[in-house]
Amino acid sequence: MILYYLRIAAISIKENPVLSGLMVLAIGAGIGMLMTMSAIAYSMFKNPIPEKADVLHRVLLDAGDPQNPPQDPDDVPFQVTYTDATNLMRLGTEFRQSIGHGVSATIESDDPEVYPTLELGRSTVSDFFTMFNAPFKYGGPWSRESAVAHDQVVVLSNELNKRHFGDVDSVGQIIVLNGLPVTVVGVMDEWEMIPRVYDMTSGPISSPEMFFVPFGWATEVELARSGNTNCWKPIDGNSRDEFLNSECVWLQLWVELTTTEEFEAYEQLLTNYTMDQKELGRFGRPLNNRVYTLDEWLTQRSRSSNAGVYILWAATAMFFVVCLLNSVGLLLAKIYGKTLSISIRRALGATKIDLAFQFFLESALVGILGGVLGLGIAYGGMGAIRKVMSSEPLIEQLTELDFQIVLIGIVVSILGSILAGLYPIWRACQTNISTQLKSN
Amino acid sequence: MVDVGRTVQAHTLEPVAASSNLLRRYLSRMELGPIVKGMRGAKVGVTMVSLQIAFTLAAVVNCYAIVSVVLTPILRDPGIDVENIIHVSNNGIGQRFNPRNTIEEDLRYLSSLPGVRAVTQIQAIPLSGSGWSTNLKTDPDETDTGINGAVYHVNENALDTFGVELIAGENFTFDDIIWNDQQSTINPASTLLTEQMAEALFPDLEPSEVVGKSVYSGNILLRVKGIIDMFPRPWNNEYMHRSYLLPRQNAWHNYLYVVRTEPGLSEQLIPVIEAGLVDSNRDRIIRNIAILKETARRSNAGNLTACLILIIVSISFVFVTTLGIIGLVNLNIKQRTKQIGIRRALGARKGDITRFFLLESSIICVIGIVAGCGLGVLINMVIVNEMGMDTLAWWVFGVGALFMVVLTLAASVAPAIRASMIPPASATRTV
Repeated sequence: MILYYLRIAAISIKENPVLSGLMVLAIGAGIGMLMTMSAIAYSMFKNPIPEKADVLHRVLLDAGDPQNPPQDPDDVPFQVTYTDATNLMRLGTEFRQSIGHGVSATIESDDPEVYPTLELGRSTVSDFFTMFNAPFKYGGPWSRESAVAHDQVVVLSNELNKRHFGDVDSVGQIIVLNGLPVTVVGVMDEWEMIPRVYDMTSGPISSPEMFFVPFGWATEVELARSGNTNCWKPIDGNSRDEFLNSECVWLQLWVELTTTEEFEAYEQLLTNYTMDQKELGRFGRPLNNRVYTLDEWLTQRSRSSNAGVYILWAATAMFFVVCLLNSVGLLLAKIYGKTLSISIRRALGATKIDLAFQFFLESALVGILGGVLGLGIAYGGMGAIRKVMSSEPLIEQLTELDFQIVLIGIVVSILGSILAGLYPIWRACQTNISTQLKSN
Repeated sequence: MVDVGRTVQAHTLEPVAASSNLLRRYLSRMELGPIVKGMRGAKVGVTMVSLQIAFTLAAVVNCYAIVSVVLTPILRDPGIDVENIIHVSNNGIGQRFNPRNTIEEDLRYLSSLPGVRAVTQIQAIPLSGSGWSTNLKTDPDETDTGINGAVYHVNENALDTFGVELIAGENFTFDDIIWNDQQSTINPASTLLTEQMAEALFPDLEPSEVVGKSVYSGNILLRVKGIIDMFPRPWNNEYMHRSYLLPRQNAWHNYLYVVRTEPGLSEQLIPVIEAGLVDSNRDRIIRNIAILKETARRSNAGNLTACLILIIVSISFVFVTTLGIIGLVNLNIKQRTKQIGIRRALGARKGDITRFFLLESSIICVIGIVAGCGLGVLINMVIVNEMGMDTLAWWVFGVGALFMVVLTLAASVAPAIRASMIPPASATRTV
């Protein structure tokens, strides 16, 4: 029976090529644009490590300018000072914490023919790798003792290791970083975290780092910072120590908390610390520390720094709704042209349900065709975006049509088409058979 | 004709009653009553199109708001000679590297190259997307935040290097320039403000009056030595030229040069500059060398793409809604073929029929516009909140509404005229 209805549906579509074509075009264009923006928004805002969604927490402290508080209480400085980060690392040894920031350094080769290069890296602690599920190919992170002793060690990215040593286990070898010899203790596997949740200062999409060095040593040798630094209080000097003791925020602080007790204990630690600092004359603003879960942090950051993408997505969603509204009108027109055939079929014994079922199947078919057209439009759209933004890092990965999105898109297209068909099909079933037959 | 006579008579006796009579008669001749009654029978079709018009108006008006704010700074003249400006990023390696000697040598070498007009060292590149900014105040004890200005550390050749003009006061001289290194900061005593910066800090003064005044960066006093016409910030947004220059050169391990070439020579000189710098000193890396025009284009790529998407979506909205209007009018006409025939048979002229359908479309359009303005204002409030823009001016809604009316009428004209062609004989046909 279904095959019969499908055949009728296909014939009906062919009989009204213009109207059916317009319906497919309307739904296709709508779902195509919506799929494009949905895929991009999903890539930028999704949680790349969902298993850590409730466990990883971003810590924010409000040590901002007491004379100029922000209008929105949620507008807490998104990074922390050196003083606060190091103090909390020291005070919270029972918690697994990670502080870090971007750095850049020159990497020299033993080969004098090969020019040295400047690479972007990360200065962080050894717990960072386990906290963020960083995959290792050879070796592993440095030990805590190594970090405390300010050993000159480094973890290389897969790409830097390939470029420098070939694709081999280079653990134990020396590489010259900023003119200093450092020992390789680990080599990472391919690691493209999109979005790069642990540090989104230059947007959610950033090229992966080429090397990772211990925070203590990197600060001591003053590796150049790469990222965002914000100082509300002017610093009098230019020396390293004056900068480290200032109220400038430039570090990201993360903590791993698995149980509610741990969470409450950590919050208490923060409160106690803030109160102590207030006595020392810092933290002039009212207590406003935040401990966001990874999901909360992603939502917060995406809203504040990438509202544009949300707006674009909302525009395409509204357009899809308009396309569906259009479908209703088109289907009404199509059905008006079929009132005679409907009346004949009803007179011959078809029930309203039979008719309705057939028409819904036809709508679904239009939805599928629209979905396929939409897929084509989405591919085209992604290709165009990729071309215009070709200089952005990881633009290839960002403009990939995630299979989930495509599937959801086609399902939404079918459901939308069926939804748009509800009223017209109801009207079709209400057709007055006798008047229609008599009028001929 | 009898009507006219009676109206004239009534007019001389009871002016008020007569004019309302006249209005009622005119309105009834406009057939608003039958139109509205007719629409009540086709509520769904009318609602669908009104909603489409509403959404389209709301969407297009807000897309315009966003695009105009984002695109304006991108399309504006940057004020500096971006086509002929090359910027070079360098990094010194290791302990052997002597920043000050290298930089002074490099600047001498670069300015000696044929085809080079002027050179300076700087610590941030305008229009590149990354740089420094500080809040300046006119009174150090003032508690408000001050005016945010992009800061650039340059030497006395900066104005010529970027192609900007001095409109008041004087340029830096060689003696004004202070060198800083990693260990210490000595602050310069003077600054050059852009006109926009001067206006923001001293709104009541002319640029020439701002020369000689003092501004404060934190607690550091700076005397305004001169005012320049433009100098773009690193970030391309609203206050594009709120910047200030400091006569300061830094002997750090990472340093940037800006080279201005004679017109048209920038591309040819890039490999020459790169090779020359590399050969002269092996203790440094050339990290990046590019023409500023290209760098500016890249940093705008994201915003441009977003604007393009919004424009395409707006055009799609308009296109789809137009199709919807045409569809509805066509459907109405098909459903009322007999009715039209009867009216024509009873004496209605072709013009009456056309006017009937155009009027019907206009009413649907007006309903859509009213809903659209409401929706548009709501959406605008959300956008203003999220993106920190100004609210839309009322006239934009007016223009949008006018556009929708024109669109509706244009879409309805052809079907309406076709309706008027329906012969009166169709009244008697049973098909």
